[in-house]
Amino acid sequence: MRYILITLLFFLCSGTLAASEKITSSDTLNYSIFSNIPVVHEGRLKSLESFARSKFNTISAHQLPGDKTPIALLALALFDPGKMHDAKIFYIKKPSLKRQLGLDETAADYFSLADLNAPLKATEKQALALLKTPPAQLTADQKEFLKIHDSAIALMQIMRSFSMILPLNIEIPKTYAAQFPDPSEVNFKMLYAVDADLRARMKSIVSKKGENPKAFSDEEKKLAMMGFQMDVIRSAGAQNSVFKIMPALWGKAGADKNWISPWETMLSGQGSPQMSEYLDLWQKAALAYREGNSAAWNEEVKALYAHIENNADFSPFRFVLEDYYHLINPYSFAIAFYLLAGMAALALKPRWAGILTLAGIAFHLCGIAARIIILDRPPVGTLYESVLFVALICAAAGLWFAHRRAMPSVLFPANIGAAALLFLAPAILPQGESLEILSAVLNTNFWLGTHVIIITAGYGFCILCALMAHFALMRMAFFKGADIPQHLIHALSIIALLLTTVGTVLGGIWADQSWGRFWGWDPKENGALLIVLWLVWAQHGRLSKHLSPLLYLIALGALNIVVALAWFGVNLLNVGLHSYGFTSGLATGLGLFCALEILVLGSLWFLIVKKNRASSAHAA
Amino acid sequence: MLDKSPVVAVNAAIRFLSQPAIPFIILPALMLLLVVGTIAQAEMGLYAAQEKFFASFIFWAGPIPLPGGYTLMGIFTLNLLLKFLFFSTWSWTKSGIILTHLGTLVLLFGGLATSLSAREGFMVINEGAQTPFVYDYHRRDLMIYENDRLLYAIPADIIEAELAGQSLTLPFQIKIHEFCRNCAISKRDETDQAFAQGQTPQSLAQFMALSPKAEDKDNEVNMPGFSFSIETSQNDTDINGLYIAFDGMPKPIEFETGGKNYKMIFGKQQRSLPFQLKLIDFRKKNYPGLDQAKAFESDVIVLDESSEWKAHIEMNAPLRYKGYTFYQSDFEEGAGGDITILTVVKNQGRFFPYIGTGIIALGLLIHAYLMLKKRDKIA
Repeated sequence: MRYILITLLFFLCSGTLAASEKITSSDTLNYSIFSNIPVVHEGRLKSLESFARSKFNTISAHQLPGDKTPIALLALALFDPGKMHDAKIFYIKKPSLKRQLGLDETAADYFSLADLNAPLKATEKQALALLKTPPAQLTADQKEFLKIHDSAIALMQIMRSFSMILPLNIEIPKTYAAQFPDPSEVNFKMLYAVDADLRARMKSIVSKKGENPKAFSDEEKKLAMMGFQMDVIRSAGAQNSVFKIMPALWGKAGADKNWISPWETMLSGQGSPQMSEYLDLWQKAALAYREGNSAAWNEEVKALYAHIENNADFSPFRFVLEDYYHLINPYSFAIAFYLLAGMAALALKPRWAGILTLAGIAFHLCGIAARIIILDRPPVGTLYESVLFVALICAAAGLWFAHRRAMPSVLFPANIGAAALLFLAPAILPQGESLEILSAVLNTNFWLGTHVIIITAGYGFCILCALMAHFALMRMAFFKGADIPQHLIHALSIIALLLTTVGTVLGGIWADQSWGRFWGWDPKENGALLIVLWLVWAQHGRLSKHLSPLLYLIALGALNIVVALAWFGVNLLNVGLHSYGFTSGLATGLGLFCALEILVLGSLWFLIVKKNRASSAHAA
Repeated sequence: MLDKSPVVAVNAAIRFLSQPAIPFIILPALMLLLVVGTIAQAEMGLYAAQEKFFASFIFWAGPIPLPGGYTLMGIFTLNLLLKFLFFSTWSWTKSGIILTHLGTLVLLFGGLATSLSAREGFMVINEGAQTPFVYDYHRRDLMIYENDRLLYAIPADIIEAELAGQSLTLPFQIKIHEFCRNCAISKRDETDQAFAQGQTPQSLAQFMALSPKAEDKDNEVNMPGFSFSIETSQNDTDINGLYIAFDGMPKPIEFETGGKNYKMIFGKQQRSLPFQLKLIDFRKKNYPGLDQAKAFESDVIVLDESSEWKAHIEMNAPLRYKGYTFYQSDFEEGAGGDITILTVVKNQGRFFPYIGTGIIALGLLIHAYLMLKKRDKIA
């Protein structure tokens, strides 16, 4: 037990260390308040911390340089785009990708936007051609190549978010010198006040002297240059909608959940006193940042936060919860506890196994509860979430059976299964973002709370049943007179059948409610039916004695394959109305898993038959 | 006295057809069909794969005929029905299994009722407009009107046979030259077609020609069409000549002969509802800051004879009226106003699943309860 506790401590410490890494900053400025400012991103309100994590983890392919934190990089990109341009944060390791981009293959793996400017421009046509290819037909290299292009565009958008309030390197013509006495402080927003006048002046000049600048006086040339520079900044800002930090129609009737970026505010004419004041505060914060003035920065950021908190509707609690969710990563703790519980069960320490399982479930539940609060919906709307939920069912059902049936051996497969599922879950995350919004058809809490919960609970029981069958087969193959809880496996299979049948039929009823038909032979529906038919077949085979007890166990063990195909396999087909579950890149892993399972089950069957024959011969 | 042999034969048949070996063989076959039919959807498209594997008695794997979904489910249903009626052990301990079997039978018969009666189509309504028409997703018809009265609606898949037989009573002859399930449109001047030689191109055929191209796996995307010629008995040069018709043709073929006006349209099969729907407003609600829809919804008015009332349709909340279900399936946004696209389904068997599910759930619950109770006793 001592070793178990040491292992536990190791896992806990490594989790905390990993978490503490995320809050270390090389920067001297304090980002704790700044990181809680709200922004709308990917369909929901989140904190700047969450926004920065999502953006910069994508840009750096989850390999941010050790001395950088996402929030510090976001501040750099927003307030000092020049320095950001030279920051080496693009992580490109693959030689083939470097080659494709025309980069030096022997160079270090981190690149800046400045390093990538020329290669990206040179490969722009190639990227545009690839964008026309259906995503399913793209190779892994092509996807990564496009991702670099996307990331560069995203970063440039962030860097230009405040180009209207950051100081410009612009020469002010004498005409406007009185209005802008200090050219070093001039920004686009200030110049925007003279935009109409400047245009009128230019129109008048062009009508008198034509469009050739050679005919202009020096002052007229400066006016023309100023107009040109403003147009360049404006046109770059016109497409800038990534940094949505203020509510549309802020302070006006009809303000809703739609938020807009500073540039959208500026160019759409939807401004209001609240917006203007908010932008001024951002400007002051930018100035403090650029000066490295920690005291001023703290003051300005506090004022920024107070302004948005007093004028907009958002839940700071959700932001804090989301930050802690990422910081603590409850699933890594759950994995550690599940693994330890499995080891304790194997070491015949049922009490410890039970306690550790309970601890794992507690962390697991915290994670799922946090998701429910953050996303304000039931926890099983995406494939990733279904894996989290199935893992929880697996562990919880194992604990319940172990306690209720006084059968601690069930804790070994239950915990190992739960840990394996949690460990593999991040592999199916699209772009590494786990807190996703749902497609319109899934946006119903009733059906997510009934059909999806029941069917995924069914998957959980199927997996537990299959793992128990594996466990029993292994004991039959390798141990003498092993105690095999076959009745427990049978009970699990009946519960799995109950849940998958009811879940499948509830899915049909949802389809009838939403699409007017109960059954449409859609891949997802067929996958669910496949599990039900497999279980029915195994039960019938057992009752009719067509399946021997050994083959019945093999059939239940193979339930893992059926569930994997139904759960993940159908998502590879990219057809049907259940388009929300599509994913790619799983085919190889799924194929390997199925092949391995067939090999394991086949080998166990062979060993048991051989062992039984030897026993019979010995008895004879 | 009744001759015993038929009774014995019937008994033997019942015993044979209800034996447990049948589901033990049929279920794997059904699973295999499910896997093959599902994988085939990626290649053939959802509709074609369903028709081939699930809504068929047999399908062909090269030269080998194999049982389709109807056959396998038919045998399974018969086996279960006979087992349920003649060999169920009517006791409390078996009540869970009996109820599960009964629920499964209700589901299977519901499936049969649905496959025989369900019809699916779609309505396209502009904001402010009303319509009684429902269009089929897959079937196309050639419709021939005489003085605005529909004379014939000929399904696309039998157009060639129907017109070759000249079973239609019309004052002109129609001869099909080429039918394509998915047509490409090209300029008439640039297209060399043997059957067009010596023919006077009329209507759309003056500018366009049709030629076959590879079929898309999604049948809705295909554009079927055909080239044909019309010959009137009066040898009218304004009418006689080469024509083309295709799904979505911008204008009908119209001419007058024998003192009557004729109109020919080829397009999605349409049928009329016994009432109309009028679209008041369509709304698409996006997630904040994204173009991704959070919800679609349509406000409509149901116009049925002299009465009318407002109704609301949105994702997961369809309108049901007179056996029809209208659900929000798509939309088009345009400068001239939004267009809502509603899928319309009429399904006589829609209550079977609800009843079947209830019975199955109850049966499995009782079975699980009895099983756990039995284990407790043993323990």
